[in-house]
Amino acid sequence: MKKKTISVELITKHMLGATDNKEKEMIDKIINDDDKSRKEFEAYLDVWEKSADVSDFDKIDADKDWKKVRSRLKGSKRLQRIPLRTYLIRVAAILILALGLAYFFTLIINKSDKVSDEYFEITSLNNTRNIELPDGSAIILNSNSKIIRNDNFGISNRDIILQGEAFFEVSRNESLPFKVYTSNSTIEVLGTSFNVKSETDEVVVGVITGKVAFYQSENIDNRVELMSKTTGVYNTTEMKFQQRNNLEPDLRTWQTGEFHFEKVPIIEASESIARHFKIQLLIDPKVSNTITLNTDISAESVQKTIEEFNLTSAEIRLNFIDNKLILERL
Amino acid sequence: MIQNACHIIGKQLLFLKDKQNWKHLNPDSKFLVNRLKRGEEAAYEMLFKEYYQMLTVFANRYIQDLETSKELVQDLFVSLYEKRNSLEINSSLKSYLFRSVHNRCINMINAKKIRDKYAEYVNANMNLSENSLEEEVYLSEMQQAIYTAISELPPKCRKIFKMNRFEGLSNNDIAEQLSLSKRTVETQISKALKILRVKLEPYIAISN
Repeated sequence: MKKKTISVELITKHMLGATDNKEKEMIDKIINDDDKSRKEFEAYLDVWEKSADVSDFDKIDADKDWKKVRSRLKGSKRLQRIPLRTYLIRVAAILILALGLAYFFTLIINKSDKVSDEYFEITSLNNTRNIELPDGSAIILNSNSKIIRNDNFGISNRDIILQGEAFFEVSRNESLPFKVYTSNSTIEVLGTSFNVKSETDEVVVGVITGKVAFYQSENIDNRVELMSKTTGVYNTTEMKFQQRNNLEPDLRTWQTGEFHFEKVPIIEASESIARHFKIQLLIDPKVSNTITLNTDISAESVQKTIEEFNLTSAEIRLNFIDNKLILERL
Repeated sequence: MIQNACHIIGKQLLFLKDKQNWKHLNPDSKFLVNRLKRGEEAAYEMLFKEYYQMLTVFANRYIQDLETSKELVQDLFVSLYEKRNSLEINSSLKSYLFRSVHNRCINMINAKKIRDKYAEYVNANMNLSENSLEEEVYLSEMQQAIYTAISELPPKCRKIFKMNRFEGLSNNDIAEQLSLSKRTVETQISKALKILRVKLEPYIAISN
């Protein structure tokens, strides 16, 4: 004789209290007779009860509340307590600077025929732009960025003002240092190649070859010396420098369209990819971080990146599901 | 219930294999902690979005007021950011977050000097040992998984299921509100249960 099993529809009716007497009897009978049915019934009951327990989650909107927290994080920077004395000195300094500038400009206006310092501004719009400088150095300007130099560049100075991001290939001249001024900080070199990304909160300098001095513009002693294949980060609000002994794999992605991984542990590599594409990353705890990535991978699209990524190791796999990156061990 | 949950902790990895439900940020990544220390907003956002609901519900087990619990967790993230330079995380970041929320709850309850039995009970029983913190974390993760599974139900099915489970509406009420037949409501709830039964397999407690 075939044993009767319990249907989900009947269980549902039971949960909803919509069973009639006949159905109730039937349920009782089945779960008493058949152990498998009883377990199934209990499993459904458990799901039923547990799902009522999570109703509070529905009242918690992480996206909305993140905005509140974010504004407080930003506010907390401004809320740093500045002693009155320091504050007054700052105000005074700004006033003096403003007066000084006003004086300077009246001089320029009055003696405009004698002033040889003419400023050039080069702006990139939606595309990157290659710039050759009179001293033989080359700049690749990322989109929506700007450099400013004057017409004595290469003669009495090698000064560049940068807004945004650029890659510099500086030709060597020991007597005339090449300086990049950006967001309160200065990068000074003799001859090297490096990338500078200047944002409101921080300036990130990645040195590809050679040596770079990176310092606070108003305080040359607050500085770091960066060697090749290292990164320096200047926090513009705290006026502090940090050094990292690696280059971000996506440092030059904006030029090459590729991630450059040099012995990067697999988790860090995935994190770089996720950060680059601004998507969330989920990691299987079983993924061993001893595997390293030592290759260039296309950054054209998430799909293309993970396709190439997955060819690098048979042990792990990166998936793109529900707008999330998932790193799993096979 | 917690004991049941712990009993099946070993199955958690099975759950992680299930891509549909997989929602897991590696909170022990040194890289993530370093990014937090550097004050990278994106790292805070990632962490917040991953843990906010879980931590709030966890806090609410002590506080019993959802809005206060939300604020408490938000305060924790702001403070995490403010103290990022002196951040010392000895255990995992996840345990750190849960423990911090727990401590904040105890402080809040004490600060309010709630002189009732509840405060006494909390003070007497809520010194979390490592073990019970683990249980609490597990319970929170399980609840998050259940909520995520419900959120991923097909729209109509999800709506009806939530109306019943979250708002406590009967099948009659739901049928009336949505101008559907009672039979349709029951079918949709059945459908939801079938899906959840499969997705939540590792979390289901079954006696022997």
